[in-house]
Amino acid sequence: MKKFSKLLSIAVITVLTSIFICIPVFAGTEFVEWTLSEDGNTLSDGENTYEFYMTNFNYHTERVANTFQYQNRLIIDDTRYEVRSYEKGGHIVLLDDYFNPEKVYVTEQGKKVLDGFINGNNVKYLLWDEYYNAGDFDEDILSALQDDYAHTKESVSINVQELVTWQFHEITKHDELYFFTYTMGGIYKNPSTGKLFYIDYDSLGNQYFDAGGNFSYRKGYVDMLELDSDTTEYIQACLDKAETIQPVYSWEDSGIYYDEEKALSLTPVFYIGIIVLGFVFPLVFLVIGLVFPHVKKFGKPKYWYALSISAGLWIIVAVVFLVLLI
Amino acid sequence: MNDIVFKCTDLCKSYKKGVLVLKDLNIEFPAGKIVGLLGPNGCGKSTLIKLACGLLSADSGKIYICGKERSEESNSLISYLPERTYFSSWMKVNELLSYFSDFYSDFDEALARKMLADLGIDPDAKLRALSKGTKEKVQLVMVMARRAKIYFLDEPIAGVDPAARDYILQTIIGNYNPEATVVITTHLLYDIEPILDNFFFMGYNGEIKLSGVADEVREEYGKSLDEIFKEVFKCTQNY
Amino acid sequence: MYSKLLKYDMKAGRRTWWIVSIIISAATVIAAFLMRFCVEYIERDNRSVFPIYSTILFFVAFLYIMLIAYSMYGLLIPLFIRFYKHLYTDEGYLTFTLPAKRSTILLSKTVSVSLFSLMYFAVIAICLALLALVVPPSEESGQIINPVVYETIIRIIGDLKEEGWLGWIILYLVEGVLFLAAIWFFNLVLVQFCITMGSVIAKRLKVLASLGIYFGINTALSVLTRLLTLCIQIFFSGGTIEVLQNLSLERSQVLLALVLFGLIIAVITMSLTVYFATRNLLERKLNLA
Repeated sequence: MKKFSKLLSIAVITVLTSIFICIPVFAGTEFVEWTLSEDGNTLSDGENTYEFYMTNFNYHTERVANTFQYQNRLIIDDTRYEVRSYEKGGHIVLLDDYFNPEKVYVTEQGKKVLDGFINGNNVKYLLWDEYYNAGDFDEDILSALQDDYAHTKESVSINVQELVTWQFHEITKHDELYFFTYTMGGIYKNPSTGKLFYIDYDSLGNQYFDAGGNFSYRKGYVDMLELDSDTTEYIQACLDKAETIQPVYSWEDSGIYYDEEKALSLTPVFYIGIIVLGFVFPLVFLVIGLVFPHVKKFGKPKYWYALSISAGLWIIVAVVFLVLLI
Repeated sequence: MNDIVFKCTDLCKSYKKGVLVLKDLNIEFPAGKIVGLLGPNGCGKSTLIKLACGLLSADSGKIYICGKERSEESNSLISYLPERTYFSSWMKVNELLSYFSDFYSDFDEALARKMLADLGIDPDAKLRALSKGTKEKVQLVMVMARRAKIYFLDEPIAGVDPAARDYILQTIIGNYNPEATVVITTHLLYDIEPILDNFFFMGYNGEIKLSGVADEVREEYGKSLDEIFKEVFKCTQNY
Repeated sequence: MYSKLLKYDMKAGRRTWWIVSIIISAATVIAAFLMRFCVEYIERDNRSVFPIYSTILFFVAFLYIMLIAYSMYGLLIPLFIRFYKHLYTDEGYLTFTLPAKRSTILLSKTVSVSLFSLMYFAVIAICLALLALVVPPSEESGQIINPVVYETIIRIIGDLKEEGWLGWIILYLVEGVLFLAAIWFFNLVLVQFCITMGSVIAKRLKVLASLGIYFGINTALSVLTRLLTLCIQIFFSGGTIEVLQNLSLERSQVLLALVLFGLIIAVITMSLTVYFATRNLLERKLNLA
């Protein structure tokens, strides 16, 4: 019972110590307080006023422009709203309750940008490779493709399930801030012949898309336009010039990882962690593995040497890690 | 040493600090004899047997089985009947027979089956379905069907009715390896006395109060061992 | 002697494993049918979704996941009860009087519970693979498995191979699986250690003692786990540390593989420690009174 009490005491002390270590330190910060008018048409951050523009059904975000998420301070009728923009103080703001499509609010400047986007003025087009690289795509060439797709009698009909294995490149449309993304169509490469084909999503009916608004490969047939050699050459050139696009998602409440000052203070933690986990901890096992085979009380069992071998390997891995890191 | 199947030297064992159950015990059991290890409850008889079978770790001292220091290999020379049933309840009697055959090369399965048949025990019966008394009989059959060098029978007749007692003693006498030693611990000397060759009267802390060849001591004292036992332990104030 | 011990340990635990496996398999078949039915119905109406089928789909998926999660306890708890009974109760009188070393007895118990775990995860993997293949509906009626599923997988593998990532991904997957297996094994031997320790040091309330020891050790380990998690989060945070910012892609790939390997070694080391401690307790401190 005495031994059990000792063990229990050690367990209790360990629990209390770990609770103490685990208590996070909250630094007080000032967050933007958002207010929404009763009719839901006007949103304010205390400095700027945003008017309701539309409910977003058709456009994606977070593809090109960065995203800045405000700390959730907008709670209306027990519903918490996430407020996002492309940057802090941006002219276009999204209000999102997770269950319904986002609502878009804009300043005067933001309204001009979105009017242009919706009307097709001052828009940008990008052609994507199969990953995260994209290059500018000429609007005139896209218009020609759409025109040909709509009027040609020589399109090819294909089972969409076949397209799953084809190499695929999206053509997307963006506002001048690159905040919204809309997929105009897709370039597909026949794996057998190498020929390129175009499908104009913009002209297709809803039955070709899934609930998320993405082109569906589940079932059905769709027309494709075979591209001529000039267009093929142009597309290849676009892809060759494609650059990596990696939008950054940041938070107003940057926490410990996205506040640069706080992040820099992590450097010693990182190295201490490596030293403790890579050297101090395995050293304990190494010593146990070397000492126990000589302890009469334990019967001098030799199998403890296996522990020292394992711990030694652990330390070697930590050394190699540090060498490669530095 | 060849005639000694069991020997312990300066054997000490305690369950609680400062409370010795066995203190510097030195004892030898000769080969080919039925030995009674006799004493009052709590004197350390079962403790000695368990130490011999490796179920307990001694505080100090040494144990020798057939001339070699006690180890797991000694278990192949020892057949042990504890005072409790030790079967895995998921087994059937047949599976238990296979179990013993697998682990003990000296296990006589045919003999075990014969003994079970004599007792009317169905080999396909599940152990958990058997009564307590039947389980004890099955256990006895398993132990006695082995051709071991030394049998340790811990209180084999305690808590059983007289008819069952006779049966158990008959089974012991009729089926053990004649070249082996049978060590029986009990505080019911009256029933055991007729079959004993040698005996040890063990008092508290494992103190050997009297030992010897049963016939010779009976002749010397002119009394039965049971009467001598009562005298020896009656004189001890706190036994 | 080891093979005999293992044979009987496997015999003792096989009933539990069969029951758990049959339950999981039956649940998978039922869940697959129900989920497939709901998904097909939802798909037929395109994006117009009747709430009832979505709700049924959600509940079936939820119940299935709960069953899989808790089936693990259904397998392990009886096995550990068996471990305790076989060694530290009256059954221990039979076990420890066998002509077998205690280290061999412990090894056979550890191997048997590991084998049962392996077989259990194999059943889970097959069931989940079945769900993944069967639930997405196929265009042709009566076709149970949609070929698009495995064609997509093949395509993804082809893309990875083209980009030169296939080898690394396979390495990370293998290391990841080994790491999870090492963690699982560590937990198995830890429970065995706690049961042994509780049985050795406590005269009464052995189970409570074992639970207390298990809780204490896990609490101590959670401190180190927290530190490890912090370091890993910093490593993946996108380069807030200067040395991490300057890392090339190739070097990052090697470092990640090295970190995973190091974690596997670390867990194996801790497992060995716990296993050897159990063995030492069994060999030197066992007292079946």
